[in-house]
Amino acid sequence: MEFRFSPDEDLLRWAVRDFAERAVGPKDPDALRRSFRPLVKTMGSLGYLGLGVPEEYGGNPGNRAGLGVVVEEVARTDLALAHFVATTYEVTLAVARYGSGAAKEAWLPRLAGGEALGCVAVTEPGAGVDFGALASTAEREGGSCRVDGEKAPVSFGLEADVALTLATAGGAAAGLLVPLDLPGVERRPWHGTGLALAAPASLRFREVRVPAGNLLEEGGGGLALDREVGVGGTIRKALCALATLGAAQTALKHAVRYGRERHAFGRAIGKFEGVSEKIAEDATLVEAARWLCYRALFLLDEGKPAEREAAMCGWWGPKVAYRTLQDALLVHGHAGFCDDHPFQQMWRDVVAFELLAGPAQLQRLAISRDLSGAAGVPDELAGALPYL
Amino acid sequence: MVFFTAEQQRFQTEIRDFARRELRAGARERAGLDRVQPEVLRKLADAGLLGRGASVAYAPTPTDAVTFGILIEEVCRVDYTAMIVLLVGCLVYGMAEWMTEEVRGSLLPAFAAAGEFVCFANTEPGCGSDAAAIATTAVRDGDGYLLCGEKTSISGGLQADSAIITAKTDPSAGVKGVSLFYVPLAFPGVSRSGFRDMGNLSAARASLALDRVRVPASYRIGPEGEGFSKVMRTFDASRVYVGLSALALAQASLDEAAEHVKERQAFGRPLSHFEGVSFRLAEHATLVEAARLLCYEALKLRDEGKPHSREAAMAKWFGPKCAVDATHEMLLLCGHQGYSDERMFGIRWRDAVSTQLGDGTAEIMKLIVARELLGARFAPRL
Repeated sequence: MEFRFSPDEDLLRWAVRDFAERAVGPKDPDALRRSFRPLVKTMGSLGYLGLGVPEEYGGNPGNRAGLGVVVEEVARTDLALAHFVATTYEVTLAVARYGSGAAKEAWLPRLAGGEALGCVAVTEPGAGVDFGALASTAEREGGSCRVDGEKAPVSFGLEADVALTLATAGGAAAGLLVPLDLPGVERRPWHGTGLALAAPASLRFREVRVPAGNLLEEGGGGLALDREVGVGGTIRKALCALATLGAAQTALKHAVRYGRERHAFGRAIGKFEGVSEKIAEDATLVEAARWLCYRALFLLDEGKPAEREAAMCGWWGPKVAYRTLQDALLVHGHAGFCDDHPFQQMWRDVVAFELLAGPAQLQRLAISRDLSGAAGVPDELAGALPYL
Repeated sequence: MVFFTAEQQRFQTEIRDFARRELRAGARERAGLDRVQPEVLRKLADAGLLGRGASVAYAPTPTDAVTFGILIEEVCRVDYTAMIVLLVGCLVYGMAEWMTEEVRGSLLPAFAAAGEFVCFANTEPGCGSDAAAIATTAVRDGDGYLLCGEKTSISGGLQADSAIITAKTDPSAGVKGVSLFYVPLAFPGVSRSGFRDMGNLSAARASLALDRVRVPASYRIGPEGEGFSKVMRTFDASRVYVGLSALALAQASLDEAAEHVKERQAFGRPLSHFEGVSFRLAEHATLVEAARLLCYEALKLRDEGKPHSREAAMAKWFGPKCAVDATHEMLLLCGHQGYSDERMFGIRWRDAVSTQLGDGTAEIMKLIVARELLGARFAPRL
């Protein structure tokens, strides 16, 4: 049994960690927002955004585990930026697998190079994970495709140049690329409890005409049903979980430091088991959860199914991170509650990831289906099983 | 609630109506502001709610602890921004008997009429839970005292007109050297700066710097060296109120989430048809109800004059914990709508977190419970 990262993966990890700490550094949200595009450009030129994209389209070789390494390391510094990296991978992997030649030419080099920003626009006001019930439509009209509907919330929707979206086409969900500078696209800010740096938006499509080549169906079967790179696929689940666990590791580091430095009743508070047990338990859970994520990505690299493992990551990773952030904040007391401290923002962001990876209930149903087959899933869900 | 008296039940109905009628509109917007809004203070005062306190001799409307708990719960379910002023009322009336006539005569009527916003200032940069370690000093200076030091993390401190402050009159005497002072914050030598918090924004916390602030001796509350023990007597009640306020947030989110999962469809049926959804509601409703009963048990014991430190400490850690868990899970059940600022799920979750931090951490509460269970000799040592 091999239980370690390859030398290349280790090198990648140290490089990304160093980059994120220096480039993002101690952050001021406004400054980070202003520097977002230049930061993305730099990551593109360093090759971090093009992992797994074919070299002919400006990418560089990269395995699935490597994607996890980049997302985890960026998340140690900033969750919104890690969310962006994972989003970019989702778009590029989908286009690389299902895009027409023209779509690949048009978007892959720019996305991989950090020159264009992508976003994933799937959730609708009336439908979340039920891809069979999407109200957005994509209708072929000659050589183009007409898109109508509303998508919200869409992370990076205010900034992005292109959206990877799912819409109902011919009675089933189909993936397609919608350039966001087209007539008929309207964006409005969407405000939530966290992830403000991800510039979330509500996207409205009214008679938007995209080239038919933007439909992501070249590979057969289509993006919506893809268990690996599809929206709600194994890669999204594992990367969402790793992002939250990257943030959790930063929270743990702060909690350890505060436990040493803060004194109460004449000694460091880390001497109290009420404090040290929290840190010890969370460290255990974070360690277990991140290896579970890498196990799922490793299976993908081996060409094996990883749906069960990815669903386990999808519900458990963010849950562990939520708990770790909570404990780290409580160890800090009111000092951690203030906006000056990174945790409260990280914690709020982690709650978004509990939703972004897909609801925990559905992840557990996916695990149950894998373990028990049809006997482990309510009958009414049978039609939705391909999307789980 | 089985043991509410007929009068308490009537009061509950009355306050529930009051909160819906007067406080529901605009509650979400007010939660985002860093002050308790004047209209909220005025409505509470006009309804006589700021005159309610446990002190029979000095509160305009003497109120038993259970009834005060009902007040906290019903108001906080609708508008949590009112919590800080109701809570500080416990301290104001709880301390009234030790105030000089001069302080009492001006402070109490002003507080009841919402004319004076008071905060309680104990925590310092170097110590929170360990009140014996405070470094603020009060040095006798003729017919007054000079106060020097820094208080921080003071809820309501940004808005307050005056503060009840702990300071050492005898720095060598530990807890027994702590005295209490009434300090109008417009006095020379006081400066303050605010924090921007994750939640409970309207109870805006502040740091208060005291640079040789001179107060008359008549502003001391109670004898020198007895400040700490006097404050502690009010804590057993205020801790339970904090627990109940948190559970009120949880109940509001439970109620709203129940409506959401009935309305929202997924896979062709209401979300509530899925056990993975409705069992989460059932579990949190159970825990919230249990924690709520524990809070009222503590208040009832207090009303009967029986010991209740153990129950109060249990309520203070368990109530806020249940509330944070429930508000979080209800947010998730409502998905992106729950996360959206259009709804109050995120605000309630963040407000609930604040209840885990103020008025004694869970660790201190568990120490109190452990001492009650095991005796001081066998409980963890401080």
